[in-house]
Amino acid sequence: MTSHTPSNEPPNGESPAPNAPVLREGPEPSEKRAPVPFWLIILSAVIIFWAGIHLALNSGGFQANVYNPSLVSWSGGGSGGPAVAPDPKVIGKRLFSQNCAVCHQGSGMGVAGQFPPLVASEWVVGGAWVGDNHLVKILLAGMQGPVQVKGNTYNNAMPPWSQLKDDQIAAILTYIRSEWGNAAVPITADYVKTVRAASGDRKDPWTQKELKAIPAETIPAGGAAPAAPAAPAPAAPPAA
Amino acid sequence: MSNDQSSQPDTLNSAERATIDSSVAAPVILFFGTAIFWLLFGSVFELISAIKLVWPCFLDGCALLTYGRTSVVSVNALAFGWATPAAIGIGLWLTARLCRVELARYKSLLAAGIIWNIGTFVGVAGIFVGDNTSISHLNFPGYATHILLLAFILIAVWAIVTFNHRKSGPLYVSQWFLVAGFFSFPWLYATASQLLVWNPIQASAQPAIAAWFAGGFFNLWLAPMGLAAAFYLIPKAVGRQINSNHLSLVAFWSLLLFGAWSGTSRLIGGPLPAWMVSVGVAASVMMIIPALAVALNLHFTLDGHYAAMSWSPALRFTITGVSMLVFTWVFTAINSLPAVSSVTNFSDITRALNLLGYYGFFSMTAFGAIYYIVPRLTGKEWPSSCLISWHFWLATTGVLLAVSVLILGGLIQGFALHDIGVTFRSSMDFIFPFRFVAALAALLIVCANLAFALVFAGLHWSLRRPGTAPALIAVREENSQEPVAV
Amino acid sequence: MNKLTLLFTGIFLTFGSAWVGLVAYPVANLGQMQPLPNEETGGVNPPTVSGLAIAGQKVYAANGCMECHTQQVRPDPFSTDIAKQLGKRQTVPRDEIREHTPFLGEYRIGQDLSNYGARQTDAAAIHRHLYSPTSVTPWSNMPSYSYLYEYRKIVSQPSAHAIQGLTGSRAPKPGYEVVPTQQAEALVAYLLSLNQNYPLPESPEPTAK
Repeated sequence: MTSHTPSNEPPNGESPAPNAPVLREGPEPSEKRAPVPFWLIILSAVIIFWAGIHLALNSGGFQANVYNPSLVSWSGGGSGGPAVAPDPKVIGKRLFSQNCAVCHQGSGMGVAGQFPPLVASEWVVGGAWVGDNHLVKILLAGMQGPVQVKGNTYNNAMPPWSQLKDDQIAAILTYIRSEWGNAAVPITADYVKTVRAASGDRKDPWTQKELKAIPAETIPAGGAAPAAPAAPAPAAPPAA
Repeated sequence: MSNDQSSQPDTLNSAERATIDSSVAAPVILFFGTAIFWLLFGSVFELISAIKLVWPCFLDGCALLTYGRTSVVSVNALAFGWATPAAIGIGLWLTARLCRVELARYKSLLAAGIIWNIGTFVGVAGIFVGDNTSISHLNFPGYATHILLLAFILIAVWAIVTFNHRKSGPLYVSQWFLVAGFFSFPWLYATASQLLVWNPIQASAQPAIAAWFAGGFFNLWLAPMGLAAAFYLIPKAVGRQINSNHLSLVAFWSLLLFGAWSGTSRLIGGPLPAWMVSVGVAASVMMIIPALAVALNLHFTLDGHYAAMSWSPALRFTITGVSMLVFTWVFTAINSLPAVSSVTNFSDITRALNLLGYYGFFSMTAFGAIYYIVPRLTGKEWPSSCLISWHFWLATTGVLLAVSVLILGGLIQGFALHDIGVTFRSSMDFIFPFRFVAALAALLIVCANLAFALVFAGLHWSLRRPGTAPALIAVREENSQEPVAV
Repeated sequence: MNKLTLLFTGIFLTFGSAWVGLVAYPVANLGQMQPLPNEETGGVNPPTVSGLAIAGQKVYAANGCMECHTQQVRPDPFSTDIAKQLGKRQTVPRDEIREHTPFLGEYRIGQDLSNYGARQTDAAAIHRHLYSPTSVTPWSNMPSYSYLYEYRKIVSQPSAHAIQGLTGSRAPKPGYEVVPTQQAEALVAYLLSLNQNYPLPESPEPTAK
């Protein structure tokens, strides 16, 4: 092996004699295994925690088209104000199609002779003696036996939906009361809660007769109770 | 000494060291020698640019010497003419030493060194004649980038072969950093060149990649190479073991992960999806973790042995350099916080932090490594301890002076740029005296580099006979327990 | 050997994660942006620019203008760029699609230029400023770009392109004139095209408080 160094080394083939700097070298370096200082671990954890918070608050929801983190963020902070809740009608439509459309159909027209329609139904938008409390009660406990809807009699059974949460029931009812030409005021989650509390723990389905005995209530147009922040139904009545 | 003992830490005897050293000497000296030329060249242009910032009419009206070209030339000559070849030279020697492998084909490395310098020359010339790409740290025109990448592929192939033939058992911490650096640089450079220079993608996607490259060039290429040298030289020179393998692990992996993601913090407020910036900010702040891990590990290693800094040039430069790396990362972390960067963004603080990182850390560490390596390769001692001492003090004073005035001035300038009630002209007036001092500091740095070049040239032209005592920059106490492993 | 494999895998994964996030992601998500139709003018946002202005980008890059001038308006409330009237809204990636290289810049040694063409619409004034900055703005720290201009003796009749209204020490002597080269014309066309005053849905203008 040829060396191009201009030093006093022997020519090809032989090992060069170690020069003075090499001879005074210490041993090759190695490592001890001292533990990491505890405070460094704590400090690192704090820094990483901070970094996580920073990421959550300033990343604009990790979208490719959000360039100013103060407009959109996971915290809902920044100049954009509180996070915009999803439109309750969108949630209501999804819940309706998942739970109700099997019988009442996506069109809300029901099936003649079997499942009553929801479109313009006095049970949905309110009628002579039918109030909003009845509608909520039916959803919570179900209904069975003969029932008159828009002049037709149906005799079938509707199961209870009390396993749905108050805001989900409110979303479904708000949806069916504002879709297909229906235009009744939205049902708030608070109102569902009130009715649920008033019904106690009734599990048996209602009959028309029983319901008729209960006086009708109407949710005030301005919203009986202020909607909780999580409530999907807006407190203000829709313009439409 | 036979190979079956190779798992022991210090089986490498002097004869083996000498054999390994002589096998890498030619390419390493070639890389160092040319790097020092570009160091002088780049720092002179840095000085010219600093003067132009104070007196815009200095060397005015000449296309080649307009500020937009001199400052770009200085940054790129220093990054690709000086820092990268110096890192390669250090990397070659460390790799051969730590893998205990004699270099098989040094001619391919000599070729790589020559090709690299041709590439740098072509790139600098390209900027002068107006082919600047205007991408930070990638200003070389495409035709120069191809040449540089070709040279680096030769080096990377050599590094892979050497690591595969290594004789030692467990990998030492410097080897981790070497693998990381040699692996990252070609990936960084090839990706960025392809997407930004050779076949540019749509400009809307370019800023993120340019920022990724600029961050990676420092944190994944220069920083690992400098740290590889520091983790080798410091324990050797003071004759102690590195304090903690665990701290090394923390430093290494946190540097790699956070360093890779940190680049985009510089684009805060820029046209980039918000999450990319916040990831960059988070990663830049988390760089405090490797900074502290490196600092503690080396401090515990050196504890009680700092005296060796006073006489060993290699140790003094290396320790100063690594301290400045720690400060670079901590300051960059602070400067990345949105509350801070909303004021300091676009101010001269960016210049200060670049100077601290590239010169304060990398150049100082590379000086220390060169002071250690070259006598072993050539068998000659440094000719003048006085010049080395001047080199150290001029460089340290220059970089600390420039960094402190630019941080101070940059803060004032930043507040002026941020304040709605202050005109742009005021921001210029406020920064002026600080830029004046920074130009003086640039002059000190040029002098320091000149002293270094003289020392290096003196060694090669044998201004001092071989075999005399090592060049110590201070008298070593007679009763000192420290080794003279300079 | 096993440990080298482990080390290499670890480096590959950490480096690769950032490569995917900071390189592949923008290529996939920001790399194929289209201009949006502008319903008022029937054109597009950002508007198309002249070929001369595109040639000017090369001159802008060659002379390192980016070393001193940023081209990015940062959003409220992070910065005061909009209050300082550097632009009406934040600069976003779609604003860059006409460029070959986005000249975002790192320093404001000089003013931000994102909307220079909206502030300055007079080509002759830009020529005067490039040729002799201090005669236009006495406190300017911009160097002269006189090498982009030809200083020559008037032969027969003055050139129609010569810069008018030069004053101060760089004003041409009687019988001489200063004529922009093709490079200067391209650079000025590019500077005039710098205007982000068109609406983009992803960059709403902040509402006045």
